[in-house]
Amino acid sequence: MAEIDVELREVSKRFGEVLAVDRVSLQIRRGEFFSLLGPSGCGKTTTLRMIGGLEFPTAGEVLLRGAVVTDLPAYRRATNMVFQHLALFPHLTVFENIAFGLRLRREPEAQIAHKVDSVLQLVDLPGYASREIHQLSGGQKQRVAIARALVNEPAVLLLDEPLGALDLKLRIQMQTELKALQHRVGTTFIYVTHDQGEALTMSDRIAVMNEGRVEQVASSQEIYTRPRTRFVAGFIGEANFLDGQVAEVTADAVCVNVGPLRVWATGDGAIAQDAHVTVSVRPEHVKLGTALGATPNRWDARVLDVTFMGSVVRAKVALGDATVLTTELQSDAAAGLGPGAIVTAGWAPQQAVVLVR
Amino acid sequence: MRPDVSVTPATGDRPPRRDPIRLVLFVVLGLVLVYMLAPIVFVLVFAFSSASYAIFPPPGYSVRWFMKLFGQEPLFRAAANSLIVALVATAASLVLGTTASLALVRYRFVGREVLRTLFLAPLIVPRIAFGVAMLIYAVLLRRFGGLDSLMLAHLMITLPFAISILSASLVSADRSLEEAAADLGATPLVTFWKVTLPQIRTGLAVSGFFAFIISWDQVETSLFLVKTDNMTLPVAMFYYLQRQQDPVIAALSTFLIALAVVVAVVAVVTVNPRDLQRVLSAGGR
Amino acid sequence: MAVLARASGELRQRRGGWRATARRYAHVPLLAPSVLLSLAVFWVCMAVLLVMSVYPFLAAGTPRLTWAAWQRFLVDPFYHGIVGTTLYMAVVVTAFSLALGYPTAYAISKIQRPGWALAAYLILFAPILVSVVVRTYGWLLLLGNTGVVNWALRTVGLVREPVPLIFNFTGIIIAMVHILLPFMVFPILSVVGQLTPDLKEAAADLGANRWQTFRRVTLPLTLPGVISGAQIVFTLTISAFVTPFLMGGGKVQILSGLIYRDMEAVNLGFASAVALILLVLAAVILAASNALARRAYKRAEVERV
Repeated sequence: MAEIDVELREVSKRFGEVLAVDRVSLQIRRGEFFSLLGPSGCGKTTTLRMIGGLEFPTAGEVLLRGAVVTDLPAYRRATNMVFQHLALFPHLTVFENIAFGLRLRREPEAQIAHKVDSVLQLVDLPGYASREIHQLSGGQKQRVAIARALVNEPAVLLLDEPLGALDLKLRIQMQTELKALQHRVGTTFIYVTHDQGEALTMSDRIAVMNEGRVEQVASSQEIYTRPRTRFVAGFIGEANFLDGQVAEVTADAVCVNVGPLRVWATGDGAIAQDAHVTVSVRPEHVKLGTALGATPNRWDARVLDVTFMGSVVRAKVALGDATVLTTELQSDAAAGLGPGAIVTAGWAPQQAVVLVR
Repeated sequence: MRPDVSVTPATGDRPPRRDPIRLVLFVVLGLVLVYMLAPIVFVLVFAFSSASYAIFPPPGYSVRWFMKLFGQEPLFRAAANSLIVALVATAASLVLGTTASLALVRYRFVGREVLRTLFLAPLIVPRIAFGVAMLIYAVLLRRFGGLDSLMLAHLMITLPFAISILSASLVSADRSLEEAAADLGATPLVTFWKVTLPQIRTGLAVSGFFAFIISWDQVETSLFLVKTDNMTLPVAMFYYLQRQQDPVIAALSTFLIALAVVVAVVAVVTVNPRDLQRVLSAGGR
Repeated sequence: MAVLARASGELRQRRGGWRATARRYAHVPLLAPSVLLSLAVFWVCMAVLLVMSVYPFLAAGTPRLTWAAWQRFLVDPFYHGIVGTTLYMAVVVTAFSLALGYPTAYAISKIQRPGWALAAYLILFAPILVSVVVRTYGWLLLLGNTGVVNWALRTVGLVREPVPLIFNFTGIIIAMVHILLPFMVFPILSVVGQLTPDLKEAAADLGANRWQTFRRVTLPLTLPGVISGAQIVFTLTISAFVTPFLMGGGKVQILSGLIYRDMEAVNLGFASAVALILLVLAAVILAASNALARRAYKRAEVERV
């Protein structure tokens, strides 16, 4: 069992009238790349800052490697943060920025110089020590910020949406580099982002947050294929939602009455008969025509519209009167599909999930 | 040259517009600038005039008034007093202004706005009224006639400026830098010294500048607090002018004007105009 | 978005350690010296002033509660006149400052070359560094019967006898406008600087000529700066002592001069009352013009959108 580096126990944070973080409990394992994912205002950054000691909870406890640090200020915690806007000291050089924390600990200059050099190598900026901050490009500043944090060998590295200011290509490149860096160094990374693609790519585990609460904590794969709540299903990737009532529960599938349709999906945990639930199925799993294999979920559908999006085609189909599904197919499979066409649509029950919330 | 090719003038190729209103505006500006310089220039002229009263054109030139100035020991003592008081008032304004501004800007607490009004109130009190009040207070406390009552009085006037300007400076300082310092292990004191202070450099310079000038040139507040012992320079000059108007004051003024020019030049050269703009427009309320 | 805390929801308030308490009260030691000093010096001495005006405890003889110092102003028309002169002087100085200051600010904002703009700024604002005594002295020299102005007027032939320009109201105005002009220009400059050319272009596009553009667009948008400048100049004028005293030569009676004379005669109780009247006057003017300014600001903001 991996050791727990960071634990939050029923942590809440209130700003005046507003409850930014609501009874969040998390356990983050040593060496993990853990992400806090959610829309703006969901409390992820506040949670990160409470781990780092820049904010203090109004309720609950924060533990770092088993020790309670809830009230400890940032300068006494074994965490280091990479800030959203980097917060590099403009009046200091790259070397002085990186050495800042080491100098505060009165380490000998020779050792400091050595450490700064190694960490610059690590982030692929050898020889940049004497540069001024304003001379650096966005990506370079990013690396200096990471170097400045890592050189202090923190137990946990906190990253607050560090890639937001970079352009798309650079961002994707940095994602790969960050992931590789984390593997090389082995430090626990806690990463905050609102970009679900980013979180899915880089993380070992993700905590999806909404309105101050944690909706689900799971690996990237599980979050995507087995979302537990409607919010998670809708926030990560795209989903079709079908609301209905549970008609039948078998050993490996659940049947839900969605209007006149009988829809089969997989359930997670105990699902009661007659419960009001939502079935979630992703557009790429909704198949049309011959692509649809053997499945109890098959109905006649009328194509409403078709949108060409490059490598894929998005189509909206209507089942009966009320239910509209979005489906995604490869472009070549969409030949001959136009508004008004009647096709067979459906999906395999394993591809759909029953959500209880 | 082909006669049938029509030549279209390139855009921006029109003759410059002679704008009469613009001309008038600049003439007015010129006159106003002359108006601003006139008294200062003529003080300089009369400082070197050989006549003992103000007559133009000067009958001749001489430096005898400078000679007479150097014999005026009370004036030099007054200058020294003014300097000491100004330096103390400025230093105190900067220290107290910084701590007070930090509290007002960085913390939220009950009565913050009331406190802010409290601190800025001296700005609207007429200086001469405050001078009377300070005299009565000083006599009451048996501190009349010392430099300390002057220092306190000046501090009361300069502190609001410092608080106003430094608050504006702190508001625009980057707090994430302070958080980064704390994250890297800096205690609040170290963070203030290494990160906050460099960021409010311009605000400190402007506050110090204003505080010094205000104290150095202050007449109405000092007027009732001075005796011969703690006389300040502007008050000494004021009294001198009431008794006689010989150009000794002009000679003295030459040095003061020279000092002002030096300060202006230094200020222009050292201060970053963008920082200055930000600080002045925000602190100008 | 974060939810509002439910009243019944359990949010167990943490009893933080000493660190949390220290954090909550960190602002106190920062404020303490300034607050204490401000209270002990400024506010107490203003209170003392108030007391002194009705109970002259420092004057000769036994102190007793008396309204004599205040009554003087209500009863004696001589003192009404002094208040009137003070206000009149302030109005005239403000008017001239505005008349000169507005076009000056406008002109400076139109200077293309930064070097010339810097020179203009310097010449306009650097004189503040020079003591008010020196500058007033300069005006005494300039405007005297044997000074430059009279010499110029006589040389050109406009007058035969020297025109009295000092030790009278005119002299005061000329010198005061000089002293206070930068305070009028500065706020107007700030506001003019915020005017984007597209507003004037839009007006022109809609058919406004230059005068109409000025009256309907530029003027309302710059009004907050004008009010601010007028406010500063007006209150500084009624409070001013040195310049009106020296330039007036004792012939023009204003409130600050009255204070000085009362102080010289060691009529501390009377001086206190006049000082307070001056203060009240300044406060009233400020309050009234603030209300005006707020309305002007609101209109300027709306029109900008």
